[in-house]
Amino acid sequence: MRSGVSAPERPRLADRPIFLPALLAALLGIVTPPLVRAEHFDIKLLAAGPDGVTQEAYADQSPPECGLNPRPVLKARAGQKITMQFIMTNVYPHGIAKNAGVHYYVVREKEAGQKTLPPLSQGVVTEGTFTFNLKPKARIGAREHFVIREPGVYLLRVESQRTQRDHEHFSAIDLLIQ
Amino acid sequence: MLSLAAADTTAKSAQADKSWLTIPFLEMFNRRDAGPSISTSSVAIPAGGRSISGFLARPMVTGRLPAVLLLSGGGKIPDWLQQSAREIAGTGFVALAPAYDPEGLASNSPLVQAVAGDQLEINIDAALRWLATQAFVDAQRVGAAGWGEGAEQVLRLAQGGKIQGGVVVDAAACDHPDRWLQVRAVPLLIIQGAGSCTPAKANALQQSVAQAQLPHALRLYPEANGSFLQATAASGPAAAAADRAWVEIYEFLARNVEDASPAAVPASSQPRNEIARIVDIMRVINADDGVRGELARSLAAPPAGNAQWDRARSQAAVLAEAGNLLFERRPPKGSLTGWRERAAEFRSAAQAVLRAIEQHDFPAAQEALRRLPQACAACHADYR
Repeated sequence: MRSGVSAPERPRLADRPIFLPALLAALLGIVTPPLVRAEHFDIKLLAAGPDGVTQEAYADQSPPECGLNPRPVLKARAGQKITMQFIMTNVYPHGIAKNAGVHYYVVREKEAGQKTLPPLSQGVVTEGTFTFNLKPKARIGAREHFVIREPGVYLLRVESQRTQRDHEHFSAIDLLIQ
Repeated sequence: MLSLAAADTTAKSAQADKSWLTIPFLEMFNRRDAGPSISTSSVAIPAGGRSISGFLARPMVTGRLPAVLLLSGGGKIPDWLQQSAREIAGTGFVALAPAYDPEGLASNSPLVQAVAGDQLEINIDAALRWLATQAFVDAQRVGAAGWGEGAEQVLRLAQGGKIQGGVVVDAAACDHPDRWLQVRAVPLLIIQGAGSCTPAKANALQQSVAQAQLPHALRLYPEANGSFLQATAASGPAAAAADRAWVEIYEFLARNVEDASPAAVPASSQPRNEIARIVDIMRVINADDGVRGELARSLAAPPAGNAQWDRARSQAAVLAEAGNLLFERRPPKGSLTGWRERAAEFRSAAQAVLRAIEQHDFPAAQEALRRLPQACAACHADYR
């Protein structure tokens, strides 16, 4: 189920969604786990510019809030279409993550690789959330196009919420807009 | 898991790959190309001049993975355990279930069990060794999970510092709380279905664990019977409890085995204020003119009365406690795992002396004391 995809009252650097929203979420319970990690969630995140150059990121975990893994950097120019896609999978063969959530957003940050999360009170390009009961081995995902009109460094992040574990998972890519 | 994720992230550099952009999202979403397959096979494990069989499940990926030894207590590997091995492999572990008791010795008479105990331990140690030496296993990240009799073996492996974390299921957890308290450095997850663990007993055990600042966790599932993790029911309270328990197990293994740093001592087991060095312990406790020497003199002749027995008991208790002190320290050379194994052997040997003294069994106490230097010599050979 989908529970709101944006926070329209927040100031934005670009309208969202700019191009085809192509936002799609679904739940399936028939897939195999995508990665050999004992994480309860795997999040595969892709981002590409108009030339097709793609960056990929896989699940890190928080705390710490920005995890431990270095973030890939995708370069693009202001005004170009950027495509992001994530698929989050419940890796465990047992247990339902009830009322869990996934939250994705693009927000301006100070520098690439910064270790603190930028506030979502300003500089948000796009944002969305889903709330769901994720069954064993089920997954949820979305693809979205967006445009960033102001040069700068931005954080693209997809994070799990309310999984009732002692940590949450996320995948993130820095966007360097020139 | 973090290091593996980092490798995945950094290995994927920017590439002009428009393929995914041209595929409709739903088509991509529905693909089943989502990861490595799980390989299962029967394996033969050398053990004490013969071999035992085992069921191995592992993800087909390159690199060294964390591993889990699954001990069910039976002579065969039941279907539910094979399924559990496959599922654990699906979360990123190599899983090995050895048939470590092919003759069913553990279900025999107490006399046979006593004789067979060594053989079972030999088989399990051999299985652990075999697992840790496989090219696809990270020997520094090996855990174990056990049911029933297998849980006792997991406890033994944890006491010996041979694993990074242990899961014990249906092991009458509340009846013998001292067993869990003796494991100080290796975290344990204790899973208990309906049984003798009353809420009062469970609280007492949890308080003891907390007071001793041990890294163990007790999870009770009173709505499920003792073998609920072996059941295949798809619904009902027992199935729901099993689901929750399995998630606990996955999380525990992820935190304590998969995330274990090589040769790292769990933070909760590190002495907060380590004052005595290894050499200090040796001089004061184990030297001939130390506590061990005093104990030897106390047992040179049968203690004359309760006061002398009590004094000998105190000396033996301190001697055993020295094993705990040594266990928590880092050796000046050699592997930490081996060090812990030797320290645990010393502690066990000292506890044998202690038990004999507590029973006022003078010949047994003397014999146990005579055996104690064997543990010392084995350790000195490796670490002195």
